[in-house]
Amino acid sequence: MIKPKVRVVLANSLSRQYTGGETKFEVEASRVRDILRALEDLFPGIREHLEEETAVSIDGMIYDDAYLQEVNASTEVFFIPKLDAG
Amino acid sequence: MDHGSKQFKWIGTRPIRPDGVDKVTGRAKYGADYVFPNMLVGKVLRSPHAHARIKSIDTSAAEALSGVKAVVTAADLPDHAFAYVGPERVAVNFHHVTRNIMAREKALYEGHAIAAVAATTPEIADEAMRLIKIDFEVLPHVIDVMKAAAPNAPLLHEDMITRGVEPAPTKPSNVSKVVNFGIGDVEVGFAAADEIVEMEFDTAAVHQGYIEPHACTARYNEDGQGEIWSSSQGHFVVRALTAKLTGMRAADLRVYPAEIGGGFGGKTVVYLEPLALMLSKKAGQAVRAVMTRDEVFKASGPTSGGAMTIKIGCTKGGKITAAEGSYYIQAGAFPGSPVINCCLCCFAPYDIENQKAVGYDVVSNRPKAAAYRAPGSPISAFGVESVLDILAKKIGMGPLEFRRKNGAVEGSKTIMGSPHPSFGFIETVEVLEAHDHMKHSLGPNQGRGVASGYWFNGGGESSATLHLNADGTAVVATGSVDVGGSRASMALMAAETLGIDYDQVRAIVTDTANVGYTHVTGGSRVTLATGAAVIKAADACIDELRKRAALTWDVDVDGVIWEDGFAKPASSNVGDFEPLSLGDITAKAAQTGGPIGAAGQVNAGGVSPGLATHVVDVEVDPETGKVTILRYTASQDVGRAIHPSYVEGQIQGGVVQGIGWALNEEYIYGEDGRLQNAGFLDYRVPVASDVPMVEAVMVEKPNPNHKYGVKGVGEVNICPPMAAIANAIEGATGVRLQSLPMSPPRVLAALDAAKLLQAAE
Repeated sequence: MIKPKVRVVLANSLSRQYTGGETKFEVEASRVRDILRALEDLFPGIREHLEEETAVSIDGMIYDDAYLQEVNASTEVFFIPKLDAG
Repeated sequence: MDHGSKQFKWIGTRPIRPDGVDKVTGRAKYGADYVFPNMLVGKVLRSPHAHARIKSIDTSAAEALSGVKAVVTAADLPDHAFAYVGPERVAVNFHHVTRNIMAREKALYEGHAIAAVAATTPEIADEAMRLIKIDFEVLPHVIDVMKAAAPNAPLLHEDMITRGVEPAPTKPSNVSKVVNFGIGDVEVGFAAADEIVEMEFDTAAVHQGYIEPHACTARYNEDGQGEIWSSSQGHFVVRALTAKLTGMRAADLRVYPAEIGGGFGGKTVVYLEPLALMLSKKAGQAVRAVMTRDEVFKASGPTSGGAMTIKIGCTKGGKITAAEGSYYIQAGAFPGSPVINCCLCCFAPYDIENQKAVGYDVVSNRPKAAAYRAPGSPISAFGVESVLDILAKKIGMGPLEFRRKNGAVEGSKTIMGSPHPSFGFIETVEVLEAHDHMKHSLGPNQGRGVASGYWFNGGGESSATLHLNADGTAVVATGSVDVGGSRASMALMAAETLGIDYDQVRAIVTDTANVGYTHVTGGSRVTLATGAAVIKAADACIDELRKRAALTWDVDVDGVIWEDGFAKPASSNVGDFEPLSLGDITAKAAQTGGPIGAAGQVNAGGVSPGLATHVVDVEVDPETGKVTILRYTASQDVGRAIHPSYVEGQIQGGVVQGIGWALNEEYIYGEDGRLQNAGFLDYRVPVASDVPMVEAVMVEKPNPNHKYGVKGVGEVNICPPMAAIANAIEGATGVRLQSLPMSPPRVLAALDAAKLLQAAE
């Protein structure tokens, strides 16, 4: 099945650590889990960091457990610092 | 999905609080109210020094004292490797946590726990503490955040290398980490500005000021099972932290939630629980430990104070072109201030193309900071909202108009680059622009101030169970400690979902063995997240009720719908059946498959932030510097108010705490590094006569991702007051105050300085 290309944005601190400064990517994905797999293929080690450290903002809505959230070609996905209770 | 314009039966009503009778009759049990046979008194010996190396501890004389049953020091607790666990913003390092609950190599602040004793009476416990001999090597201390961050400051942790700096520094310092956030290019933005204001501000460390001190009772049984009764904002977190700190498994420790006499973030961590449990383990008897007020101030986390520089530029037309902030935030004696929140919240209400924030997490010889209502956000809001007021004046624009013109909307970019979700900021401004408060004229020495604030709100892990009884009533049990009315809001959402009366639902908070993991009551998360768990459980019960009705009617379950509390045939094709109420079905539950109940467990997402805008009128006494709050109106995007009275109460409570932070509250240290005002006589929180009735204006912009539109309401209300009051004081006197608290001596000194300057000119 051909999956749509989804725009993905990483926080600056992540990009410094894993992607050589690149913050914006396009990956084929129908769910957030696909994005994590695709990024791990590109930048080994990043998936665990993303799962542990970040929340996912999908078109502005923030999810802590976004594995199964659906994404499409018009979706913009941000990995941002996980927001926990204060 | 949002129910849109549907009129709810229960959501938005104001039933009497379910915990009210127990509380007004004194039956409610708080942390110190649990009594067991042969229970011992637990007390903690604390450091008299702000900074000292512990060369030795001799507990032999104390242990030999008649009536002393146990003495515990750090040697009785397992040590932990140095590792930050969890997301960076709230990372926990158990190497530090275990040293905070009981000092090991060094005492790092006055009040730092050194040893704990369990004895048969308080007097014997006091005598035992006097008999413990500690050989201290007193070290130089540092209290002020900027002095602590300076290169030659006394080091609290001699091996602490600043994180977040590349390349990593070679020398240790008290700066635990540096964080950076930004979008756009602030230099380009400032170049496009017609007016730029850059100023420094600082805020004092303030305590959450909960009325009930930390208190717990612990019992370690012969079979290795432990039990704790404590007042906290989250008994699952008490269990997790205590188990880790004492080397137990979670399943071997059961924690019961007491009623809570206030927490405001300060009871999301543990202090006494691991010590009481270890004392009980050694003594073989239950141990109760209760902090004195002095201990609460000296040894439990206040929120951070901080120092900041804010620079904002705008055009003559009122468009903000760039904003930049740097924040040095006190973490207390161990890393972990809310500095990331300062950075992420500071400009969040506004749509600014170019923004940048740098934060420094700084340790000093103060108690470890703990969360306090929107931790971090009020600190940065004080600086940012003060500068916005100055800019608005410079370009001749009203403060509300300036905020409205620059207000972020859904889709505007945050400082992380991600877009905002449902966002009711501009609505909070507009409702005040039209409010009667703005038309009221001011007299001599009076001024009006405006400020806004932002808080993320929270989601996360929550659990609930819902059981339906044979008589048609329901019991909903959650793991969320009821700090601000969650029992009422859970019952309302259960009643609304099931379609039964509110009075038929009993909501309780249950212990760690009776419901699934539930994160703390904090972060304005419970109504959304635990509410989602309750709704999920109710939906599952409805599915089961439909099945039972289908069984009763001998039809397919798809032919049964649930509507307004009744099972009904989905269409006339299904058959001609009288609707069955919830009670009709539960009365026959034994015949149709047994008891009906369900659990709901969620990691709730779809969070929308809280926004607030406040306007305050003050009068400044030019003779004394005393600031009197004349009138206060607070508007807030509350999503949908499930129980409006509780929501208004949250808004009023946040405002009053903000007034205290603005005008009086501060930790005052002597030259010896010891806290000088560890009591409510000298640490002045607002009392009823200090504040007028705060008018809460609820802006209801429902969260489209929650069934009932919940956003979270508990915290953003504390963000605007400090700047709003500073702006009002400036309006009354022409003098800009940049330090908190704006207490009478400071206001008077600023007025005198302004007079001198005026005379000199």
